[in-house]
Parts: sequence; C-alpha cells; structure tokens
Amino acid sequence: MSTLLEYKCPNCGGSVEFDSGLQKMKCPYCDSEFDVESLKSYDAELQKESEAQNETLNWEEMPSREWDGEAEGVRVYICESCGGEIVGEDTTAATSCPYCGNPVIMKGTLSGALKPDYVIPFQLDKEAAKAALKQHLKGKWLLPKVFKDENRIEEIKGIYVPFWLFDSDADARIRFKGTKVRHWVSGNYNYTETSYYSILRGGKLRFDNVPVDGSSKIADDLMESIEPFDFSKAVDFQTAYLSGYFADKYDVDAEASSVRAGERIRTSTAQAIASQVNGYLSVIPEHTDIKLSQSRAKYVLYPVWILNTDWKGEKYTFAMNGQTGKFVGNLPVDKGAYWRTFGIVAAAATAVCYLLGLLL
Amino acid sequence: MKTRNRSILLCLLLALLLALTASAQSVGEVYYPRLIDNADLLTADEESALLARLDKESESAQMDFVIVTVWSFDGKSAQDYADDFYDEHGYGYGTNRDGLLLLLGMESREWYISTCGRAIERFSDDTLDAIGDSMLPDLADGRYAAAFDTFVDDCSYYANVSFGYDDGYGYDYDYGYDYSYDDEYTEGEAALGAGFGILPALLFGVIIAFVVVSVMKGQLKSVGMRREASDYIRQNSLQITERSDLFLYRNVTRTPRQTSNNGGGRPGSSSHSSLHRSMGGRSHGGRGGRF
Repeated sequence: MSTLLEYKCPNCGGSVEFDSGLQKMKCPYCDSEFDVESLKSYDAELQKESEAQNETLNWEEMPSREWDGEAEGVRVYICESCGGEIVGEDTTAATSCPYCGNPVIMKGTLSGALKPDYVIPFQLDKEAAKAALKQHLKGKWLLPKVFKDENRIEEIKGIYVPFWLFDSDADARIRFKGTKVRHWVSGNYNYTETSYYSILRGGKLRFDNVPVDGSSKIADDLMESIEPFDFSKAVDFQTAYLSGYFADKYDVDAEASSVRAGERIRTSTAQAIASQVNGYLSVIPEHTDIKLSQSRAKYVLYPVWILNTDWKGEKYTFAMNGQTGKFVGNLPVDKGAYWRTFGIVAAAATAVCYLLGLLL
Repeated sequence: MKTRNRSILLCLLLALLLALTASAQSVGEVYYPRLIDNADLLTADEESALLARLDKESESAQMDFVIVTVWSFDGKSAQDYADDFYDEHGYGYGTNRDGLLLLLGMESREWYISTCGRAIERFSDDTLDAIGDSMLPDLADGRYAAAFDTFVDDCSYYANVSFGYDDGYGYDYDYGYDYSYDDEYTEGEAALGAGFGILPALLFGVIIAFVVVSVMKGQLKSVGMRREASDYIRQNSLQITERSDLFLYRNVTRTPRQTSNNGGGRPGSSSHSSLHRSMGGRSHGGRGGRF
C-alpha cells in the first residue's frame, strides 16, 4: 500500500493544491481548476490503483533500521514525484517534499480510525497572513520601533491542526451564600444590618463543539487564543483539502483532551448559573455540583497559519485563524519606552491633579 | 364725601402701620423665661442660678440661649417640638430671632438643640454635635445642672469666638461654610495646607500612569489560555430547573456616629449647617440625640 498521496493534475501531471481563494483544487503549473467534490471519485480511483500496485510498491517504505533507537517516531518516505527521501515524524500527515517542493500527504496517518470526521478548509491565504502580521504590529505604543523593520519572517506555514470537539450536556446545581445589607441611623449610632440567604439554582445547559488542541507540538494557549472557529462551515473530511498545506495527526487522545474541555465547560456553566442570582450585595458559591452527560467527541482538522519570526536572536511565534483571520502573538516590550511613558504620564497626571486640588 | 373717605382710609392705614411697628418692636423682647423646667429636673436654687447665667450670657452674645425640659413631645418629633416651642414663645434677638434652644424630653430621653437666625451659622452641625457630646456624660448620669452649665459654657464660647471673616446673613439652604479661626490660622499653616496637596496628587499621578502603561503593555500580549467555553453554549439552551432563595439569619451591628471635633479650628476644616423649616415657616438649624 502506498504511504504517500499526491494529487496529480489530470491535464499536465503536476501536483495540484487546494486554493483557499477559489475553494477549489488548482494546478499551479497549468492553472486547471476542479471541484473538491469531483475529487472524491478521483480519490477513490487513486486508492484502487495504488492497491493494485500494492505488491510492487511494497519496498518503497524504507526499513528504517538505522534510525531505530536514535530517533523513535521518525519515518522515512520516498517522494513519488522525484524519488527523494522525505523524513517525517510519525504524526506528520501532510507536508512538502524538500527536494521538489511537491505537496505530499501521508495516507497512513489519516485513514481508518485516524481519519478525521470533519475539516474546515483554509479560507485565507499566505498573503492574508502576512498582511495580518503587519496590522498586528500597528498601534502598539510600547513595541520597539525597530521591531517592525528588523523582524524577519523565518517561516510561514499553513497547518491543519488536529482538534477534538466535545459536545456535552451540563446539569448544574449550585448553592450560593448571598448577603443583603441595609443601613440606617438612629440616635447616636449608625446601624448596619446584614441578612444572609441560602440561594439554590439548578439548570441545564448544552455545549456544542468545544475544541481542544489534539497536537502536543502546537502550544495550547496559542490555539485557544485564536478561537473561535465556525464549525458550521466545516465539511466532511477529504484528503484533497490537505494538498499544499501541512497537517498533523493527533498525538493527544480524546480521553486526555476531554479533561481540558470539561474544565472549560464547568467554568462556563457555573458562570451561566451564577448570572441567574440577582439582587444581592455579595454572592459566594458554597457548593457546586455539575454533571456532564451525553458527551461526544469529534475529530477535526482546523486551519491555522503559523508564522515564526526572528528578532535579535529571539523567536516570536504568531498564529492566525485560517478561517476568521483572528491574529495573535506576544510581542516584546521596549523597556525604555515603558519607563519614559510612565514618567510622562505620571508627571502630567500629577500636575492636573494638583491644579484641580487647588481649584477645589 | 370722597375726601372724607380718603381721610378715613388714611387713618386706618396709619393705625395699621403703628400696630405693625409696635409688634415689630415686641419681637426683640423676651416674654418667657429662658429656662422652662417642666420636667422638674432642677432644684429651685439650681434653677435661679442657671437662669441668671442664661440671661447674662444671652445679653452679652446678643442671642437667646434657652433651656426647656419636658416629659414628652406630645407626639411630635424632637425637632418639630423644639422649633415650634422656640417660635411660639417668641424667643430670639432682632428680626432674625437670633438664638438657640436646648430641649430635653425625659420620656424618650432625647435631647435636641434648635438654632435660629444668626445662631444657625455660628453653631454648625459639627459644633452642635460637639456640644451634645460634652453634655452627654452628665445627662446620662442624671447630673442635669452640670450638663446645663456645660451647655451655657459651650454656647457662650462658640457665640463669642471671632471668625476670620465678616459673618453676615448670607446663608442659604444646604450651603457649606468654611470657618477658619483667626487666632490659630497662621501664614505658616496656610503654606503647609497648600503644600499638603502635592503628595496625594503625586499618588494619583503614579496610579494613573501605571494604569496607562499597563493597558499599553497589555496590547502586546494576546496569547493566553481561555478559562471558559461560553462561545460554545448552544443558543437559549439554558433552562433553570430549580430556584430558591432561603433567608437564613441577620446580623445587626452599630457604631457610634462620627462627630468631628471642631474645637481645633484646623485650616481647611469645613462645617455645615443643615437647615429645615418649622411649622411657622421660620428657618431653623439643629441637632439632637439620645442620652
């Protein structure tokens, strides 16, 4: 069985890629365009063909004895276009050949039980990601002035990141202690009356598609920062969408990921229930009981642009939601500008306060 | 006929004018004694001694100091009773009826001082509270003669303290007065008072600057874990199935009311006289409490 998948243009034989602007497959060599849907049958045809070649192609997977022990989890593939060796991790699902640049897809990592249920195809291309980075650097007062000019984009990658999506019913019963306070004056004394209440709220809530990053290689906080993705735009998974992008398969399983989803669902449920308690001065939850039921996990690939940049020997990583364009990434602080601004604002504010004080 | 009518009208007007001036003159005179001890708290000797003191101090301050003790307020509030008593008995010097009245009600053990005319501004709320505080120990222990002596002392003191400016009658409702005592308010303190503002201003300035740079610094950080999943709540899926608010218990605490001592006359300390109107339509100031 072939381990690599390339989509060959029926017209010229070049490798075709998914074009986010057209939302179609496009051959970069002869500009032929064709539907993703039509590739379904083409895909099936390819499967048949490669299975027919099964015996003759068996040797293509290298017995990677020399890598054993030294680097576990590394796999070597042979590029079907140029015959070059592609060294990939065992989680790699889509990449490009380092010799001929053709997009390749590792079928084994995305088939059978490992096949994703849904994919959100890229809506924004590489240029949009570059423009978003420029926009991201605008209007930041304390960003070092030279960062914009000296900051070089080292790498820009469109990655399909594996996500687990969790659906769940939350059934909550929360007991709060609430206080109401009344003041009055009588005689020579000020009176304060504090009344204590036991407040009980029970309720049901439904969560859909709470995402958890299923790849340990990509920072979880980066992925949670570019949320949310619009799941209604997701389509049934097809390997063709991966052509031209990078993709990983999950290496954190659904069970391990569900812990994180559970935490977030519980926090949101508690907030939603607490918002039903009104008219008290202070409300403190005393006992919280939240049961999650009918939980279901889906395996999906979400589109993310990752930009790695380099400035003064430090690496800065940015991420952009490949669907909505939401752009995040921490930036360095200019210490000098920080204290300068602090001094100027403090002096100005002090002067204003002092003058106001003299007037009053 | 016409001239006769006119002369009669003129005579009537003249008579009316005479009657008015006569009554205006009578306003300044005191018809009732300045001490009325209906609750019978004082011995005859104490009464005559106190009355003599009240008369003497009232004369020198040119405002009436009156002490009235009663058993009950006949269903009125202490304030109304004191105001009405003052108005109805014609106390007070001059057309503004300058003076004040201390009322004790023994049934509810309440005291109230009602001020009128010039006494309203002379005796601010804080001053009246201070007078109340100085009488309170004696009142509470039943040493009424001593308490009243203290009252007369306080009244003559505050009435004769000279203020740093000409205190006319320009008060208005809810108007705050800044009193500074001449003898204690020196140039040095004025300079200190002005310099005092720089430290709080600096503190505010530093706090504001810190908030501003923190907001700017916050712009640079955009990566962080999310605590909640509110984006993924299905629309209108929240159903409240249980709801109960159960009252458990209540706590009542009391603290003595803050009465700032006005005696020090510190620069910048302000005093305020709250005003109200009596049944008779006259403006009164006043404070009261229990003993």
